[in-house]
Amino acid sequence: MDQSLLQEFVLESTHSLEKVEQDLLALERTFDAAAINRMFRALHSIKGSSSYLGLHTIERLSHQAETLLDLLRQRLRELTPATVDVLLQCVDQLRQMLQLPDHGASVDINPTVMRLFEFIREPSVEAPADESSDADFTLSEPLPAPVERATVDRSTVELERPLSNSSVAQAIPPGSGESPLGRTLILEHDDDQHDRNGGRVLVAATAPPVALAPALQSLSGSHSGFTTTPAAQAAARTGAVPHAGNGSAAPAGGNGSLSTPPTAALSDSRGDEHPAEEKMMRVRVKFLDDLLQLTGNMVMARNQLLSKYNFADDPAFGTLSQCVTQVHKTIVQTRMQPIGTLFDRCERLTRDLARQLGKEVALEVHGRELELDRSVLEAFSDPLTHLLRNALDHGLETPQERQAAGKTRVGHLKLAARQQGAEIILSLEDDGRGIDPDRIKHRAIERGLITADQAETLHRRALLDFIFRSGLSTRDEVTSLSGRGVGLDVVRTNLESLGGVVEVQSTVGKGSAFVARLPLTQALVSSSLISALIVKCEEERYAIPQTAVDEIIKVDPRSDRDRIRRLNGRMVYQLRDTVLPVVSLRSVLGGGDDTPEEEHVGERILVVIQFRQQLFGLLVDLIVGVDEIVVRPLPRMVKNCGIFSGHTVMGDGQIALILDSGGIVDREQLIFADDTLGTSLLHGEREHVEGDQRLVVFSYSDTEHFAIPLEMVSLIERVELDDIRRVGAQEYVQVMQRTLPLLRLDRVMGVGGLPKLAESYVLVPARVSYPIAVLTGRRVAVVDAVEQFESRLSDGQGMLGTFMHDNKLVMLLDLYRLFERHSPDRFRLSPVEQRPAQILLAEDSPFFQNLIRSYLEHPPRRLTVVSDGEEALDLLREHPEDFDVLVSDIEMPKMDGFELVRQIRADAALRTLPVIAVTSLATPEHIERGLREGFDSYLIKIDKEQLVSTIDRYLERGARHRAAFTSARKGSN
Amino acid sequence: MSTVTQSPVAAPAHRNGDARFSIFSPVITVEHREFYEKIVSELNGVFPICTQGKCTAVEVSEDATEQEQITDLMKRVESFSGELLEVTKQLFDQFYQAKEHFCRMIHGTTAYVKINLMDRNLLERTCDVRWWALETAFSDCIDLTQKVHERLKRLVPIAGDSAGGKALRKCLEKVPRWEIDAETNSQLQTCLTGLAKQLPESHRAEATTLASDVVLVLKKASFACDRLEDINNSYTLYRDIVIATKDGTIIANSNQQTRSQVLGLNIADENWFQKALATKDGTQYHAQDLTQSRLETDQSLVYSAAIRENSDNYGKVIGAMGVFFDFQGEAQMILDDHMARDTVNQNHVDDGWFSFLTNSTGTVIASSDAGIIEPGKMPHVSRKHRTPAAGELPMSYAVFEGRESAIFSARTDGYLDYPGLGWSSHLIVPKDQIFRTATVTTQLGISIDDLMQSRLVPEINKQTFAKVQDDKESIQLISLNGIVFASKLGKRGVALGPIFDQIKQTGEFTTSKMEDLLKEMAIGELQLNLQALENFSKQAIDLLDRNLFERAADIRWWSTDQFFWTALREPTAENFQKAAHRMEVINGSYTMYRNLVLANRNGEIVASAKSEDRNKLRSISVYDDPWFLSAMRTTKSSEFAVQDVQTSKLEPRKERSLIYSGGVRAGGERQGDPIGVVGILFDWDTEAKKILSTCLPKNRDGESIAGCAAFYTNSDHEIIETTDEQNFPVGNTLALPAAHSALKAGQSASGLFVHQDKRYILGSSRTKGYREYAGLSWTAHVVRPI
Amino acid sequence: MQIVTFASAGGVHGIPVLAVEEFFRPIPLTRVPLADKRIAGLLNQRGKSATVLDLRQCFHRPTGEPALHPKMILLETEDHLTPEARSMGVRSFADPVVLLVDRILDIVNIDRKDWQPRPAHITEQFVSGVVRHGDGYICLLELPTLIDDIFSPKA
Repeated sequence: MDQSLLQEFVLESTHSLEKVEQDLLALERTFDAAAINRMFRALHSIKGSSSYLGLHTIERLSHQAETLLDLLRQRLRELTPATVDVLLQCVDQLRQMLQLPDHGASVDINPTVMRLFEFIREPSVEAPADESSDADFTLSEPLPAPVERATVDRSTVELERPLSNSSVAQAIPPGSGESPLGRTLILEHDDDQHDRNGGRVLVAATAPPVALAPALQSLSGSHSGFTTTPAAQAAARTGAVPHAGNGSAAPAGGNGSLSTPPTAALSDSRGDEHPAEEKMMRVRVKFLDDLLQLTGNMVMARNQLLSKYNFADDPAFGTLSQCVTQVHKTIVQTRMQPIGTLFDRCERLTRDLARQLGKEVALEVHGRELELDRSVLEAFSDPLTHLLRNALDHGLETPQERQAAGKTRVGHLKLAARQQGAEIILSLEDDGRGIDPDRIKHRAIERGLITADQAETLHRRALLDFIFRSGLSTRDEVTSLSGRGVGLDVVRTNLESLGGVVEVQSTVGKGSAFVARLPLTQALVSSSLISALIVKCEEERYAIPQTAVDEIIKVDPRSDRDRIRRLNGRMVYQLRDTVLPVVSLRSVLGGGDDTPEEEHVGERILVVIQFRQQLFGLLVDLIVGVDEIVVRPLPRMVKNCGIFSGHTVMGDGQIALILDSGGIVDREQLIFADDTLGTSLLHGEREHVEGDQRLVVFSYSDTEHFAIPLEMVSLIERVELDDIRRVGAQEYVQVMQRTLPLLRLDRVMGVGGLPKLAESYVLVPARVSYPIAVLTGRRVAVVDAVEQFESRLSDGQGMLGTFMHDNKLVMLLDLYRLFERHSPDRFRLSPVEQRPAQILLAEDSPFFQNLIRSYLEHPPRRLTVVSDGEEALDLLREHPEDFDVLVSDIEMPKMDGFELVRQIRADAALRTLPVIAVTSLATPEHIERGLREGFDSYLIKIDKEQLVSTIDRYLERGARHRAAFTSARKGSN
Repeated sequence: MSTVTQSPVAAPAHRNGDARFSIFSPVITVEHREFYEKIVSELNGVFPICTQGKCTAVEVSEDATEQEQITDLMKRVESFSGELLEVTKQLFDQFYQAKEHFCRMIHGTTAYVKINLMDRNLLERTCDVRWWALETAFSDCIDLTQKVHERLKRLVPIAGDSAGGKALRKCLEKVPRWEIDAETNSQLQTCLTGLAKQLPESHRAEATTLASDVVLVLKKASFACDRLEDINNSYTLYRDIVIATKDGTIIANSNQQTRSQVLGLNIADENWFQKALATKDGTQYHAQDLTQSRLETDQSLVYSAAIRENSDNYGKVIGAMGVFFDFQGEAQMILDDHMARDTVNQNHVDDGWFSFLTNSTGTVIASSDAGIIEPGKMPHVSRKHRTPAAGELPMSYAVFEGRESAIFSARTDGYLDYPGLGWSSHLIVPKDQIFRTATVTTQLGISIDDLMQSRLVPEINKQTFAKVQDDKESIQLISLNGIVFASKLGKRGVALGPIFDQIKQTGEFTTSKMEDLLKEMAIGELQLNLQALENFSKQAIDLLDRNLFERAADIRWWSTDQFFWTALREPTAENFQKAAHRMEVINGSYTMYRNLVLANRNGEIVASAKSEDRNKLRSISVYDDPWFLSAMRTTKSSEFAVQDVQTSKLEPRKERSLIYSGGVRAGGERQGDPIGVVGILFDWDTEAKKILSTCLPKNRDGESIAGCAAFYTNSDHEIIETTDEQNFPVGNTLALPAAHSALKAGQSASGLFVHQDKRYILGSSRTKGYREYAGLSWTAHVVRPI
Repeated sequence: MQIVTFASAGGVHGIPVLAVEEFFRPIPLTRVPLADKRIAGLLNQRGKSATVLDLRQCFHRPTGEPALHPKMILLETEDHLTPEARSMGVRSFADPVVLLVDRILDIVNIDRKDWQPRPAHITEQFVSGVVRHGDGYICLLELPTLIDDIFSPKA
């Protein structure tokens, strides 16, 4: 009996210590008397039980903590971070001792006790009876002395039976001189008659509880219980009077209240403490897992029955089937824990680290309530701790540095978790010093990870990625926290082993954001019920988790549009405007190479699978259907296949393997569209963080090379020259089921014609009301523009400028100008008289500066161009009346578009200025954020008509805004 | 020969509605019944063991799942035992039905074959009577006789009552008739010459010519008799052939013994004579069912046709020919054939087997045991059998002569254009013969498993065999699981061990017993198959012998033809032309001859039927061909020679031919050395192929079984005709098993035969000839793949 | 000790009866491409997913062609081993395992002293010993060594 009792105590105490830790952390932020009370009672009950169970070290440690808490409770001690520190340390040690087999008997608790004493003995602010405290500690006190001579100058006595005022006064002469109880003070006499368990008298007495016993005995007389609590000081108490068992007074069962089993006391105190919280119960995890396994079997058996005897319409079976699913769901639920538990630990870690590093940190947490399976939580805990350490150690500056940099002393850390589609996204943002790509570049070159000229070509984002490479710690000296070079690579390897991915975005000086993504498919938990797509390949069935499936397409090699093509040896499929790498399940499973693109091969089914934000196509023989399957782990002996993540039992009782998209990608080393950078032909809108400029480069002959900004191209299609039909002077070509007029550059510009070719590529422009296909010849490539762009040579006839790209002169084309010359009637701007306007353009990329200038700068309009948000803001502040409208990009150094518009809206003078965003950030979040921040309209780069018409629309308001200034100045001066 | 397929047509209808052989049916042998009882009792013994197992499960362990596992095992054992019981019941039913089916196949076809043989024979007869009726000798004789009679009749009133007239009238009525009796003829002659003197001048010439004509009539009549005798010598199965003038008097016949009574008789009132006169043209004939005739003592089967002026197909009817077929002799031979014969001493097995023919009214016309089943009476069988419907092969069980027997009947369905006379043939077999267990268990060296898997065993047996194997495995698995489970329970499981042992033991016993039964069935099936093949081969060789016999008769008749010996005696081109024309006419009316040739003494072909290769043949010398030499050596016209099948230069298209030959004797003499040879090239393989294909075995639904083949081999076992060119091509010499190659005439054998490493069962029968045709020691074989 | 004997790959083999949970007739398997060739596939028996080992493949030189009616033996998992089995030294594995054999022969009682060590000509490591029985001999299989080899194939 004793063993299970001990077990129960350990479970209970660990739980309550966790509660204490929360309260301590909460206390740092806001003072909460109730919290202290709760902590006091928790420690008190632990002390009581541990002494009963003979766990003396735990008892002594918890006693000290309790004493300190009591002082705090009575405001005899000031709550400082230091106090919280020591209490946290004490809680940790207690928790550690509870877990030890001998329950901490052998643990040396003296250092903690010493530190507790420092705080306990520290002279409290207004404690009158300071000198009287003759508490002397004998540190080396032998252990299990029953009566401990720690005299405390105050103790409260609480009588638990209905007492009339008279009897109390008579037993404890109030405030009179020396009496056996020492100076006593009746703090509170609650003789609330109707309270069933009797009125309570709270008496503060200077004599140690042991002395009080005889007097009290006479008082309580027959009454069973009175409790004395060595509370230090009877502070004015509101609400529930704490009542707790008294350990020291009567060790040998003298005190009635201890006669009842301590657990009852424990539960009473707890129950009383937070009646609102719903009942909690401790259950061993193994039971839960077994339960889940069994219900998994139940669900599978139900599926088999359903497929065999289709009871579907039988009501009895209906209810059974529903109960089974319900049971399964609730059990899965039991394993779910709010991520909050993980975040609490983070709070504690942040607090400790911050204090250790002497940095001030405010941790802001979002999405505490997101519920995840226990195994997923565990997966996240290590990476998160590393990220936190890194952020605190490298990210946030010391308060002094921050002030010097004009930032607030307290560093901000924002920890957010959310579920988006099939992924769990965990982001940690700090407003610290950010990561300087150049330093990383040098460090990487130093470490020999990349050669110097390679580093040149890599753009900022790839450089930042290097911090995840092992052995690259940018900090020079080694702090105990971030350890010897154990950089963030551990984080990446941990997450990637789970199929997740981690990225970093950072701007120097502003801070950095680490985003970790873990696809839900990866978070497969044994026995969880997921819906899966069942496919068949070579007479075997395989399951693909539904969350991983993006789309299913029927591919017919004969029809030219949706064909699978081979791109330098690798199968690809063009889905709308993205290119998917394609792999055939048959070849993955070792069935020899598969040639789906040949005409004779009949129709095939392509399953588009999403893996870490990328899409790839999986060719299967046929789709059987969608089923709810119970996930089972892969038996150990077949684990090393790599492409299966588990198995399930199908309706007919046979096993089907679950495909692991990550495994397939690794096995086939699939290359995704944008990774190929230079080699990929096509490029669609892609959310890219940086403002760098990417171009489609093509050439008519060995000397003449042209380029068009990538954002302006929606599709590149291959066309046979004899497909081109000529109607009168005009040539047409068939692209994506649409017939488009064809533009040959040599017709509209002074350049040489294309050599005679059988096949050529065609560029289809994006976001143009009357699209014209541009003939580009055979050599087309996507390239990252290099900075030195010459706009001098712009001839206004469609050539915006030139730039050098691997020692070739490339001409940047203005498509709109070329389209105007190709079919003037379609593209002439309406000759409406243009209103004079002063336009401010904030755009960091020289390309778009030129492009937009060529669109807007026609007399009588004037365009002023600045290259970042700050410059724009300063300019606006100096002469607010000079500009009718602000056209701003978003990704800009120093101050991005969001910040700029926020400042503008905040500025009383500039509030009414119309601001138009022109950017390539096209995701819904960005758009929503842009409008929320204050943009009047949000345009995606770059549609000439739309830009011009939007500006026209806002000019009128702009004019009013400027008019207001002129009148104001008139008024002011 | 009509196809054997006729017989099993009735079988399928019978199969699904057939009687169930409940275990208590008397037919089931004693051993089988004991066998059945043992299995059933053993299986029923399992159920109490199972219930006991369930109880011990409860005692042995408290754990619910363990108990449930044991009871589950027990339930499965019970279900398997139940299945096995069910299978055992069906097993016997299957076994006996298989036997019944086979007997139906063998005996049913035998009954049918008998009547079919008769029909084929009678078909030939209908051809003979039409062909002979066109013989010029007969039409000349009748024509002359009728004219002389009229002139005599006209003379009688002229002669009046004078002595000559009276003498004349007396001579005319005198018996034996003047037309055939030399003495009466000479008296008539003298009477006429005497009368001529008394008659007035105008009639005197008439009387003298009459005198000479009367002698001419005598000569022609006796010549006609000689020709009829020639026919009878060639076709030995006629009692008598007669020709009669328009007014019904018989003027010539072939049977010397009865000639004196028969000639001169007037049979104008007999039915066959009137029907013959009524025929429209030469292609029509009349077949007269058995009736009494003045010309014969026994009832006779008469075929008749009209004799026409100068033997022209559409000429005026001037008389009639009647052919009296020796039905009783032929019937006796057919009925005795195909009876169960004691394999050891080749005579009839003990009684209980009867075979008889009934006419269209159901009265017996011929019987293998005249004493028990008397001709002329109604047989003691049901009407369904007496007059079975056409195309049906009724079979039923009845008590016959105090013995449980099975009766098989088959009605004639004619043959080619001969409609038949509505007769039916019946065979009675003792019932226990049908269901006797296969005493001889020679397995011909085929292992049981191969046998079970072979195509001989019907599908249902195979399924049952697989079912029994499956159940045996299941019981073994259950008991093993049980023992394992018991051992796991340790000491608590001790009580369960013996229970599972017992179950295993019972399972093994019952399943092995059932396998034995199935094996016995398989062997039985094999035996019956062998017997069936033997039957088929026998039918094949008999039908061929009879057909070749007809050819032997043709050669003997034609070699006496007038045109041939006149052409040989006076070898003028014009005679050769006439002989060739005669051959052409013969070849035109008999479809089964490729060519006829006439060779003179030194082997030169002087005439042939086919005009187109006539000049080619003229340059060929057949002097050293076997058929020519052996024909030249014949001494009597009733002898003939046959050259076995081989390629011959006479055949322009190099077919392999069978050549019959007969000696041509000057003046149609019956003895003496021939002055030349007539050879007929018989297109025998088309005929043989037809016969072979009718003798292929059929399955229960009447379809021919895949892979079966039938073929003839000559004396040195070379295949001379086949139904399966691919596996058994013509010209291929076969290595036959000893029993089959050493067959003696008329013997049959059956057994295993491996050919091109495929395994067959083979039935062979060696020819025993037919009447005078001794056969060329050919053997018929029928094979069926295993 | 009681062992169950079965025929496979041309030889007769035996394993302790207590190591067996159940014998049953083969049910359809799911092939696992890219897995070790000795693994015939996975099957679901009574709710448990088991890995099926094809004993034939486990031998270097299997003789005789595969059986017409193979049988399957489901082995006990570690947690279900009865104390008695453990005392007899029967070892098992965590995941359920099924052996695919040609034919199950019989249950035979053998005692310790008849065991002889693995003769030289048998190269399979997982044959722990041999015992003479009737005119032939039975190879005693030590399945855990086989399973370990599958986990980390040496050769």
